[in-house]
Amino acid sequence: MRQKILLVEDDVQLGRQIVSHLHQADFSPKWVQNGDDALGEQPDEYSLLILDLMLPGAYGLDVLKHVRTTSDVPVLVLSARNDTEDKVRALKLGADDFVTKPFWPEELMARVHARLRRPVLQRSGLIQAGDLAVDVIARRVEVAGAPIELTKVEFDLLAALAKRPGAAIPRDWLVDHVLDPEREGGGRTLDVHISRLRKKLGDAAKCVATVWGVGYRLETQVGE
Amino acid sequence: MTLRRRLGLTVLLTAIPLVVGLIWLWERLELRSFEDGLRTFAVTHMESQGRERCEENPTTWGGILGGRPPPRGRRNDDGPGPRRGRGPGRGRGRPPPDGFRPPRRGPGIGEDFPFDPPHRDERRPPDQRRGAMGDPPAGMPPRPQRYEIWAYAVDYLSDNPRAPKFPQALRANLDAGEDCAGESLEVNGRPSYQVAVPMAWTTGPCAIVIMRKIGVEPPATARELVWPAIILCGVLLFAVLLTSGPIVRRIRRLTTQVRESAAERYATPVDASGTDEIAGLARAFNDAGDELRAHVQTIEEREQTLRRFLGNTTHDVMLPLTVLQGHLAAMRKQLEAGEDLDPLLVNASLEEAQYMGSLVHNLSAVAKLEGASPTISRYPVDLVELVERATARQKTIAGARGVELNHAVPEGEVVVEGDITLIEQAVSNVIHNAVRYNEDGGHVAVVLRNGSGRFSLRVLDDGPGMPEELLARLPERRFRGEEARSRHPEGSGLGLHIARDVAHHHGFDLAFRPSEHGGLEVEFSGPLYEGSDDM
Repeated sequence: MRQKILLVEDDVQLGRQIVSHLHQADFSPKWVQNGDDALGEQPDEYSLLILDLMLPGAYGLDVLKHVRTTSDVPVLVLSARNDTEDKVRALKLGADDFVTKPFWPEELMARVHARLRRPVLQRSGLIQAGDLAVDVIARRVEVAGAPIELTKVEFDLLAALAKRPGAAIPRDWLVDHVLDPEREGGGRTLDVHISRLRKKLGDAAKCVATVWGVGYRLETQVGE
Repeated sequence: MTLRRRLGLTVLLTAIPLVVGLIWLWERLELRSFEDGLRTFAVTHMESQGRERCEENPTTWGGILGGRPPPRGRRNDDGPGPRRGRGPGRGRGRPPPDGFRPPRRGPGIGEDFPFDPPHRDERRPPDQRRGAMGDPPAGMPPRPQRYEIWAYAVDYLSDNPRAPKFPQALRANLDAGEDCAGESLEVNGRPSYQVAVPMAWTTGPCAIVIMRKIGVEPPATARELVWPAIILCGVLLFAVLLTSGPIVRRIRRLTTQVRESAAERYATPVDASGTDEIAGLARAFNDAGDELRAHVQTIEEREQTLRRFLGNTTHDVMLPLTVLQGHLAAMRKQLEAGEDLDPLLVNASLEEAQYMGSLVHNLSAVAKLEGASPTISRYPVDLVELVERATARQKTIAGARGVELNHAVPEGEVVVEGDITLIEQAVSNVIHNAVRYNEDGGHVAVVLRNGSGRFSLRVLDDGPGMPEELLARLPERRFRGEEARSRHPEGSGLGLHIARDVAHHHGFDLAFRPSEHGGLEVEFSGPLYEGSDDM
């Protein structure tokens, strides 16, 4: 089921580009070119609303205000005026995020994905990354269905990464929050644990990626 | 209308009606009191045997009362009019004792009316009531005053044929219900006054009595005050005009000075010596002028700053635009020739476009930051979202350059107080620099941490880095490391300059140090917004 996205953008060129990118990213966009048309839409039918602030007809913030009276749909605001007051007003009125023009298509799509991904995060204790499945609550790890035995520290490390899949976790945070400061500590020990963890994960080891300058990350889309 | 004229007119318009009204009121009261005296005299006389005698001899009763001249010759002092400065012994409103002799010797009219002269009486028009006529010529002894009394039935007719005809004017007044009506008249060429008084009874020949006082005029002392009042008004007017003179002159001088000051854009203050209201006005004007001057100065400074930056950066914008046009033209040629697009050319175009966008944003940031009073909004700003946005913006260029750009943020929010646009621009500039001066295969990492009420935002790279002596000078405007200049000649040091200013205005620390990975590490750090939770 493709997620529906409502785009409110008056510029034809930009509107066409965004619609094309949304199609490529497997969304189902609907594009309206002015605020009055936007007011006629049912926001709850969409997974996301991309709203340009400078619109003919109703002003973008009025559309936002109207949408917020009936719906909690995530709203991503596009703003050409890099103006703080505009942004603050939009955020106060309930906008979830904004992208300032000029923006790269990738930049916009990253924000779209970020908005749509968020609620999924809180859903359950089970994280799937390729062949790797981590059940944070039951403290079970499987690779391609086969359970893997991990030490407490190894599991805690994996769970710390798995709780925020796709996000880079700094080494010092892992050292502070996962390792036992009494017995072990320091970056060297961390590297050793990670190395052991990767070995035990076998083929799924590439899911635990090193992030330059930061630390480690659980890759959710492996093999790209 | 000038201030002076207005003041003079106000004085006249207030004083004249006031004086006229007071004089009129005084005169009315005087006359009223005089009439009351006559009336009381008439009533008392009639009630003490006057009535009886009249009813006994209605055809002859009436005429001059008593026969003795008044003990004093002065007109009004002994009359029933208002007394001036008399002792309390002479009761007010009591019948004047002069001339009245209570009947002691039986019913003889002659006792009551020793004189019975035929007389002419003529009412004088009111405008002649005063004047030399009533007064004895100077040097001659004053003729005695005397009283006459006449009785009438309710139909205003007298049984006494010698009684004068009842005056029409008095009759009209009594008919109107008044208990006493008076008028001036002349009797035998002497100024006189008479009152008609209805008695408590309505039958018999003396239901109404006319009491005359001959040789006296109704009091009109108030009229003597007219001339002094006019003179007083004149003096008052003169005094007002005189005192307003210096005030008007000072106001005129102040007006001239204000005009001159305004012509010089308020550079010279006006004379504000003195402690009165006009000096206060002058001081208020000087204050307003100071404020205006400061305001104008701020605006001029801001305008100059803007103009300077516009001038500095116009060529910076035109240059990448020219380069971009060249790249696009070259790509079109490649397409026309059926060749593959040169990826270097495409990437270079992307970079030029990115650079132009950030340059324009930087320009608007500078407009906010420079000038006498930077316009910085202060709202809670979530750095987690901000880092994600700023990183996403640089990802395209990083990808095109083959530079890996990663970021790490804590879970939840990291909130600081400040201007979201400026902070984002500052962070973007630092990331942009790290990406731009890195090489293919290089890395840039953005790490946001928080704890103990502070945040730390580090941007590290494994680029060429920078010698220690240059690090300190890094955020100086228009300074770039030599290496950077050669690799990005169209760049501008504006970005780091803005990062430094934004950090300064927000109370953040901005540190540049060699990164452990060989490149540069830039760290923003500062206090969290109160109410934000540590991770």
